[in-house]
Amino acid sequence: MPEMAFLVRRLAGAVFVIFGAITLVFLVLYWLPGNPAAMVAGDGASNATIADVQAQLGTGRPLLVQYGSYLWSLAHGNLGTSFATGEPVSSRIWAQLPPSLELTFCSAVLVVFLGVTLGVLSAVYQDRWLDRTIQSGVMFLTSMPDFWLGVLLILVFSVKFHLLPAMGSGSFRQLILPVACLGLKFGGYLERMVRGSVTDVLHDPFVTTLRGKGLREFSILFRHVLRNALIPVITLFGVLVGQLISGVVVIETVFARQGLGRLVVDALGTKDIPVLQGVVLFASAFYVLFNLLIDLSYVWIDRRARL
Amino acid sequence: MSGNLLKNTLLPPRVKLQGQVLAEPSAGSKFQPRLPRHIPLAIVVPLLVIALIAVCALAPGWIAPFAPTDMDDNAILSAPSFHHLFGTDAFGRDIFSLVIFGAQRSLEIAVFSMVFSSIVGTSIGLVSGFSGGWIDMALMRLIDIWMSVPPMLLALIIAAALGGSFDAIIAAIGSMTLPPFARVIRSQVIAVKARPFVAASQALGASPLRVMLQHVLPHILSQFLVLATLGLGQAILVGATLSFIGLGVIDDRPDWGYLLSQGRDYISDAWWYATFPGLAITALAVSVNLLGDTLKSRFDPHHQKR
Repeated sequence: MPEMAFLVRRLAGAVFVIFGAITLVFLVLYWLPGNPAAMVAGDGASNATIADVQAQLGTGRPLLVQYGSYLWSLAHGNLGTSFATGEPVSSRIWAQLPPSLELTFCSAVLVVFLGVTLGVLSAVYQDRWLDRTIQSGVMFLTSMPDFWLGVLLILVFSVKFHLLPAMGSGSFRQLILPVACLGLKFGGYLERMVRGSVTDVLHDPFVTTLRGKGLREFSILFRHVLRNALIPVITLFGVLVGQLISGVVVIETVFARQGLGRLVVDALGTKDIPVLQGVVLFASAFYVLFNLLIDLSYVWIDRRARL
Repeated sequence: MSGNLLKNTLLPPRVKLQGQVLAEPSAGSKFQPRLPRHIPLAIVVPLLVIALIAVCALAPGWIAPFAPTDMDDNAILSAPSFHHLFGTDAFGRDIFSLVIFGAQRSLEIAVFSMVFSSIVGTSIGLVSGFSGGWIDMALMRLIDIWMSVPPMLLALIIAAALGGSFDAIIAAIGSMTLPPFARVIRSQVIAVKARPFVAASQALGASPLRVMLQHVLPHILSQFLVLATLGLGQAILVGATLSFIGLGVIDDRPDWGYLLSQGRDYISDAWWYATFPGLAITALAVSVNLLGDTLKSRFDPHHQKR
C-alpha cells in the first residue's frame, strides 16, 4: 500500500506544519505591545480593575503556562473567548466566514478562467501583438497594489457611472467589484504561470511528433499540451491561494465588506489576541490542507507520480 | 605552384573571415567586458522612472512646489489645476508635493526591507544548502512553517505586534520576502556545491566560511540580483498595503500607501486624492518588476533556451 503510506506521511507533515504555525503566531502575539487587559477594562479603569481583568483573561501568566493552556483548550476544540466581545472565537469566525468564503471562491473561479484562457492565448501567439498586449496588461495588473485597483474600480463604476454599489456585502451586485478586483490581479499572476508552462511544453519534442503524425493543432493543444502544462501550474495555484486569502483581507477593507479580513483588522486595533490566533489558525489550516489536496491530486492527474 | 594555389583559393576567404570577425563588437581586447550594442527600452525606461523617483526621494525640497505641511485654506479639496498639479487634500495641502515627499518614505521602506530580507534570507539559504544534514532539515522545516501562514496575515500581525515603527514595517515586509529568498538561494547553493571547484578548494584546506563566501556566493550572484529586484517590487506593494490598512509609520512625511488610504475616504468628492498616490506606487512597482523580468530572462539559462 504505497499510496496509503504516502497519504499518512503527507498528513503527518501537514499536521506538523500547522502545529508550527500555531506556535509561531502564539509567540508573535505574546510579544504584542500594550496590555490587552487594559484594553478590555476600558479607558480610565483603575489599576485594581486591570489586575482583575488580567487575572480573568490569564494574560499575566508566564509564556509556557499560557502556551500550555492554549494548546490544552485547542485539543478540546476550544479556540478561546474574544477579549473584545466575550463571545467564543469560533462563533465569531463562523459568523464572518460565509462572506469571505463567497468572495474567495468567486474570485478563484474568475482567476482560473482568466489565467488559463489568457495564458494559453498568450503562449500560442507568443511574441505576436495579442501576446504583447496581454503581457503588458498583466504587467500593470500584477504591479498595481490591489487596493488601488479596488479604488479605481469604485471611482469608475460607482462614483462616475453609478452602475454598482461601492460598499457593503450581502447582495450579488455588491460582490461584483471586489471579485473583479481580485480576479484581475491574481488572474494576472496565474496568466504568467500558464503562459510559461504552455510555452515550455510547446517546445517539447513530443509536440513535433504529434504534428508529424498529422494531428490537428486544436487537438494537440487541448488534448496533449494543456494536460502536461497544467501540472506545474496546479502547484503554483496552491501558492496563489495563500496570496488570494491575503488579498481578501485587504479587499474587504477597501470595499467595507463583512468577513474575516474585517475581523482581523478590528482585532488588531483592539489587541484581541484569541480572535487573531483563531483566524490565523483557521487560514493556515485551510491553506495547508488545500495544498495537501493539490499534492494528492497529482496521483490522479499524472499516473507517473504514483507513490 | 602549390603556394600560388594556396594564395588564390585560401587567402580571400580568410581575409573575409577576418573582416567579419573585426565587425563583431567584442573583437577588441579579450579582457574587455561585452557591452550590448544598444540597451533595450525595457531597461532604459524603468531605470529612468526609478531614477526620477530616487531624485524625488533624495531631494524632495528641490522639486516639490510646496512643503508637505503647507495648508491652503482657500483651496480645500480642489481639483488638479496649474497651481496644484494633482489637486489638494482636505487640509488644502498640495497632493503633488505630498506625493514627492512620500517617495522618500516609500523607497526607504522598500529598500531597507529588501536589504534586511536579502541578507538574512541569503545567509539562511547559504548555511542550509552548504551544511546539509540536520541543519538544512531544521531550517527548511522552519521555512515551511513560516510559509504556511498566509503571507499578508503574518505581516499584519508582525507589524501590529512590534507597533507602528519603522523597524516593525521592515520586519513585517521581510517576513514575506525572506522565505522564498532562502529557498531559492539554498537550491542554487546545492547545485554549485556539486561542482568540482568547490571540492578542489576544500581539498586545498579552505575553511567552510571561505568556500561559502569566496567560491559559492559569486556563482549565485546573478540569481541573487534577480530575486532582490523582484523582491523589491513586492516590498513596495506590501509596504503600501500595510500603510493603507493603518499599520504604517505616521508622521509629517506620509508614504504613498497612507495618502491612498486618506484619499479613499474622499473618493466620491475628490477622485484625484487616491488616484495620484496609487499611480506613483504603480509606476515604481511596474518599473522595478520590468527590470526584474529583464534581468531574469538575461540570467536564467532556462529562459535563454527559448
